[in-house]
Amino acid sequence: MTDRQRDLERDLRRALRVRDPGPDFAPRVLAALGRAPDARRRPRLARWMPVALAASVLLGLFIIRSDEHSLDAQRGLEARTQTLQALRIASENLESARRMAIGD
Amino acid sequence: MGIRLIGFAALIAAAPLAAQAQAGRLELPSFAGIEKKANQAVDISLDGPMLELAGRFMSEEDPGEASSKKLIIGLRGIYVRSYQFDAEHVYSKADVDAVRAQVARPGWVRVVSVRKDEHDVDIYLRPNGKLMDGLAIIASEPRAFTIVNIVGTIDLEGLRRLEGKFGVPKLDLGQGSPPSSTP
Repeated sequence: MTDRQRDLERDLRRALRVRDPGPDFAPRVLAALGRAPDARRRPRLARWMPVALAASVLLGLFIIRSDEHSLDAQRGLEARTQTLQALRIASENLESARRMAIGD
Repeated sequence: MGIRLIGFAALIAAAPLAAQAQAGRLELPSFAGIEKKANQAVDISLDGPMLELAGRFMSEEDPGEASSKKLIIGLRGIYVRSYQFDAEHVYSKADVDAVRAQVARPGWVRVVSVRKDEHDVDIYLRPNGKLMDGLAIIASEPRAFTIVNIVGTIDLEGLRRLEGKFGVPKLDLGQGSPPSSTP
């Protein structure tokens, strides 16, 4: 073993020796973790985005459904009015025929 | 070839159903020109689905509506053209005669025909066994005319009940007495 090799080995042993980190090591690590930004945490807006999107879709469906119901109701009431009017006209003409037939 | 044969067979099979759906339906003219001259015009065309929709909005508590609701259950259409004019003879008699010609065809029978003071009312039925496929009312007078065409299974008892509800006394449209055929 040459002198240079011996010096290198000594330096390595010195560098790799076990050292006590001290009693405040663990609190320091935990404190550092608390300050560090969490890469996994998304911004508040991004977290609420799917909820907002789902709510928008539901609201849209509700509005469309309400419009359809409203349109159906409108058409139904119109059809009802026309049906009653048609039946009334039919009955009036039947009455007219009856009166004419009996000479009233 | 096989598919064509099946298609042809399906067409032949469906033809009577289509004919049945149209039985009792008259081809009513639009009367567009007449409508402009009328002071009152009623143009109602309600097919089966529309009648079904109308029925859903009819009250069960009102006697007239409740009876109407029951009556329209078997109907496939109601078509009304009714016009009133300020002056006499604004419309051509030929307009109404075009409809009369349709009920003169086989299948229709005239059950009532009354004429008084230029006021004519004819009532036609299209029998189908004990029920009816169609009803046509053609009423005309110098200042007005009305055509009513009701299509579908018309229950005569239901019709009678409707007449009562609307204040129309009973007509002898009866199942007992044979109607006079259209000349």
